[in-house]
Amino acid sequence: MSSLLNATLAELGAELAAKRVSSVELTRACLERIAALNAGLNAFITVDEARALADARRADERRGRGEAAALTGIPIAHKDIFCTRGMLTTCGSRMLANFVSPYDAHVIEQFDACGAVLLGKCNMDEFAMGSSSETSYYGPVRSPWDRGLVPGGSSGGSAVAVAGRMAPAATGTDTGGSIRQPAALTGVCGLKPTYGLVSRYGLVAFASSFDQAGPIAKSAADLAALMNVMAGFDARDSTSLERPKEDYARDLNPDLATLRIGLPKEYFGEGIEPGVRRAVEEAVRWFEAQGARAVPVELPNTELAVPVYYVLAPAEASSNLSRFDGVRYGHRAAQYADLADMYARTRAEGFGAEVKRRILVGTYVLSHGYYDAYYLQAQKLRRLVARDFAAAFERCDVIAGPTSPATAFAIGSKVDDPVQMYLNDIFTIPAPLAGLPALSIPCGFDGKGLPVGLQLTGPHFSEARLLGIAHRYQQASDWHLRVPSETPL
Amino acid sequence: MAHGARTSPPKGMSLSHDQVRRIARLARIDIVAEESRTVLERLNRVLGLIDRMRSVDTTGIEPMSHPLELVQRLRPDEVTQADRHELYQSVAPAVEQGLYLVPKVIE
Repeated sequence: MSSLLNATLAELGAELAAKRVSSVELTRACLERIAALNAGLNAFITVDEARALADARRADERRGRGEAAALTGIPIAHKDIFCTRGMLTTCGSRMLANFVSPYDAHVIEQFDACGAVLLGKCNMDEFAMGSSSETSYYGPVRSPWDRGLVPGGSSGGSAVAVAGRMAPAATGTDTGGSIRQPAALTGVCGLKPTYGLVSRYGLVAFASSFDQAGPIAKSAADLAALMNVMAGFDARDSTSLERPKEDYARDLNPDLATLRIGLPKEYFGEGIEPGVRRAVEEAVRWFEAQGARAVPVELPNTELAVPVYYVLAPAEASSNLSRFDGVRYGHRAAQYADLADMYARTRAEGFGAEVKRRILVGTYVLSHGYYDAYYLQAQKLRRLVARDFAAAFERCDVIAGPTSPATAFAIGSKVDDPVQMYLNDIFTIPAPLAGLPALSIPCGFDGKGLPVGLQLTGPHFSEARLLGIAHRYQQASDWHLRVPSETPL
Repeated sequence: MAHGARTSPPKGMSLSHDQVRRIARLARIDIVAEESRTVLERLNRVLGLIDRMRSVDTTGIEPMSHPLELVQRLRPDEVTQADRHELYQSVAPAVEQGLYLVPKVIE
């Protein structure tokens, strides 16, 4: 079973198709691994074994009828931000600790329709606000590379589910890096698609002009297979894009000899750990050895991206999270004097410190007399960041750089200093400001033996290309197949 | 706290306890006395970070509100969903006769 746990989706698909293993057996293997590891890693908030096995039995029956689709019978772990009917959907918050969703998110429906198994719901930073998966009401997620370290965030539970080989694949969401940064810090792959490709229906909203759901898996080819299920038009999300279905695995072996890789000088400057720089530069050299051309480009507004994001995302969050008022669902304070007091106490009790902080910042920047100086100014600078990318993509096909300036840090080391935590997002924030797709794949280890992520960013709708480039790299490297030291198979 | 005319608050400004209380009231979040110092101190650090973007000259730049510059799709004004209020209200803290219950607002 241990080789199954380290297998790619294509390999698992072949095993299932040849009936060398059943979905029930595969699901049991994942559940046993979760039972063995989750107490230490805290990657899952909810695991419903009976439901997972019922899904698996249905998948095996479907295969028996000759009706199997791609991913039929494959166990998938979902970030606990996707509403799942009849199941707890907490978003890592006390506010939703009692919320059993009455409906399924679009992404959950898509996996259900293809016969995938719902393995469980993954831990995360509360309301996806964080870069370390420490702000969850359910306690911090721990890295399988070193349990004293964070796995990154906010989709840290999903990344650890995959990195710890508890799930073959997982879903996440990315607002300012919440798929790519935890993927990088745990040595797995993650893709944030172009804004609007994956429906946000049933996804608990954080910052609606940024939020995108995407896959986390062991390989780029696996990400492509997951995107084929997740992406597609959905009328219930007003920002869902009406585009023809595409096959994200159609270009897995692109010609690298014609590839122009943009290297922004801002992504290789000061503040990057030497071990991260070394691994990323080595990966770029591998592409050059295949004939790709490295092109210097400039993204001069990179420094502004973090402050701009930390105006716009909290502003949108303060509006989105106003729905949590103790009236229609979720937590309600036990004691209150009147309606206003009920709102204020419910929200004081239901939200953690980081979520409150972002709501307060958002309320402030949107308040009368401050709107122009903060919110409008940030929206103007958002355009400058987007223009930087447009100019760069006239000279290159993809932009490469580190996903994160540093490898994983110690649990507790940054929780008291929000600014230090925010600055860590400097390379993942620009792409969502411009709505661009970006992925992170493992490209080596630093001196401490911790995984380093290579980020590739492309123009809108270039997912298939990015995945192909990443796949070529993974054909020649095995960083993505390394099993974390503290969770051997 | 600015009311009306002033549209450009001074840069590098720190919030006072009174301002934080006002913002918290707008956000409908109770802040208890013991946590107010920490809240203030950390909020001011975040505002220090975002103040960095305020001095950039953005004359003539249009604000960008959608990352793909698209407008939201419209649909015909027709009923497309079945009435599921019982299901959706089943997760509410307090419901009676199909209505959400809240503390009395009008005496």
